[in-house]
Amino acid sequence: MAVSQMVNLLRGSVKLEVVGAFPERFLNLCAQRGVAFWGVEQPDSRTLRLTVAWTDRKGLEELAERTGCTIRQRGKKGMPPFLLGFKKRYAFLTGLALALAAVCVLSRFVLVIEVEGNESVPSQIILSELRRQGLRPGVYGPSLPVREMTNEALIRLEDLSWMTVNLHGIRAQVVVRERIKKPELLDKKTLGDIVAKAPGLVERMEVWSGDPAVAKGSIVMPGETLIRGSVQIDPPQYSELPIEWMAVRAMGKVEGRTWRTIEASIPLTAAVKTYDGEKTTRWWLSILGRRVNFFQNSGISYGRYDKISNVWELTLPGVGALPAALGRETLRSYETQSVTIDAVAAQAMLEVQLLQRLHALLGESGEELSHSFSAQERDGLLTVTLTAECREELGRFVPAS
Amino acid sequence: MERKERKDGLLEWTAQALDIPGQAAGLPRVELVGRHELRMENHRGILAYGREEIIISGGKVIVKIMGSGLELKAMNASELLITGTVTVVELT
Repeated sequence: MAVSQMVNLLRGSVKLEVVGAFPERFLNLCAQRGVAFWGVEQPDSRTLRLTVAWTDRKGLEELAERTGCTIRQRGKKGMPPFLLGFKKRYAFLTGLALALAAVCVLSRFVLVIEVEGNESVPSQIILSELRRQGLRPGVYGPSLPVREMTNEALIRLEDLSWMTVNLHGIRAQVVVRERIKKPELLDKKTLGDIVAKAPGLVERMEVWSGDPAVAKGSIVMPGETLIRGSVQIDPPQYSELPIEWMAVRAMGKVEGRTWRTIEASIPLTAAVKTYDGEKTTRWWLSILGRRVNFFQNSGISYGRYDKISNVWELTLPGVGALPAALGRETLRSYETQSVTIDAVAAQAMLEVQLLQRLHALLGESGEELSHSFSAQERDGLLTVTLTAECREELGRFVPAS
Repeated sequence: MERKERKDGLLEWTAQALDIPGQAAGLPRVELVGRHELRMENHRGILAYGREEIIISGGKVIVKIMGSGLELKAMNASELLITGTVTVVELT
């Protein structure tokens, strides 16, 4: 039932009223002519109401005349009569044609560019390179030389190994694969020693190549050799051959306890902004990457000012941001005032920063055993000193000169 | 009219003699599906139409359908479909 109603709506129908002495004859003639009708009603003995398809409505007057009846249209519905109602609405038809043209033509212009598959290479770098090659919002999609463009971009972006651009209507999907970096190989050809990078007490030594220069429990100073890159080769027993030395690349681990001292300072006065109430607002519009400013004088008369930018992008659900945005810049004038800062809070902040610096210095292999802070105020400057006992790798490789 | 009746009689006789289905020989066929649907093949047109009574020509035979809420649902040159509540089908 629903399907037939849908079909009738699409093809359109006309409701007719046939009045005459024998309206049944009209039905018989319709059936003989192959005119499909339905919904036959008989309000009285001389009248029949029926519905025929929109395309069959022509020629029914002649059939009615032949049966001695009169025929009258009582209503019409469906798509064809609905569209026929717009026949003389030229503005509407023009608008409809333009809208259809816009859908057909504008959908071939790239408005949104999405980058997928990148982790370490920022999307902006890829987009910037592709823009140089011609892919930008507003470009006509079918005219893009995708293969040449991606090949050229791959040559310039060394961290990418593969790239393709898929065009889906107004959306350009850039799919990339990043190059897998070669693992860093240990250079065994460069000879040298392992020396101490910080003063400390040696707790553990693990020599893989070379001769140990210090023993466990030794106190070493920065630059002191921990593992020598020359190996002594003793001659056979009872031989008169001299002792020989073989140069190697010293390798190994030397762990020890270190005591580190780090300092950080902060002024006890700071400049604070005070807004004086003067401000200027500027509006701009960006379409397809071209910016239109709605202000003439771009000069700024304020000595010091904050610039607050708000950008509202045009977004489509399921598509994302389109290359159209409205922006507002608010310039607020301010002056600075010198105020005294809270010394306790400043010290706490410096302590946190010092601990972060210490952990960065130690790296993943080192660990902090204990620490203490001391603070001192002098000449309007608060200086905080961190003293920490740590366990860390003491050695670093130094190539032989 | 007399000639047409003779033709219909000839068709009926031929169908019987040759043992072929009557509707294949052009004879009217009335099919009642339950009480609410009546189909007719090889009709010769509607003679009278109403909600309680529809009279259809079947050539040699006149089919009178009586009931309530009768409606001619679909019709073409040889077949028709009537819906509603059929109480009597009378052949004259």
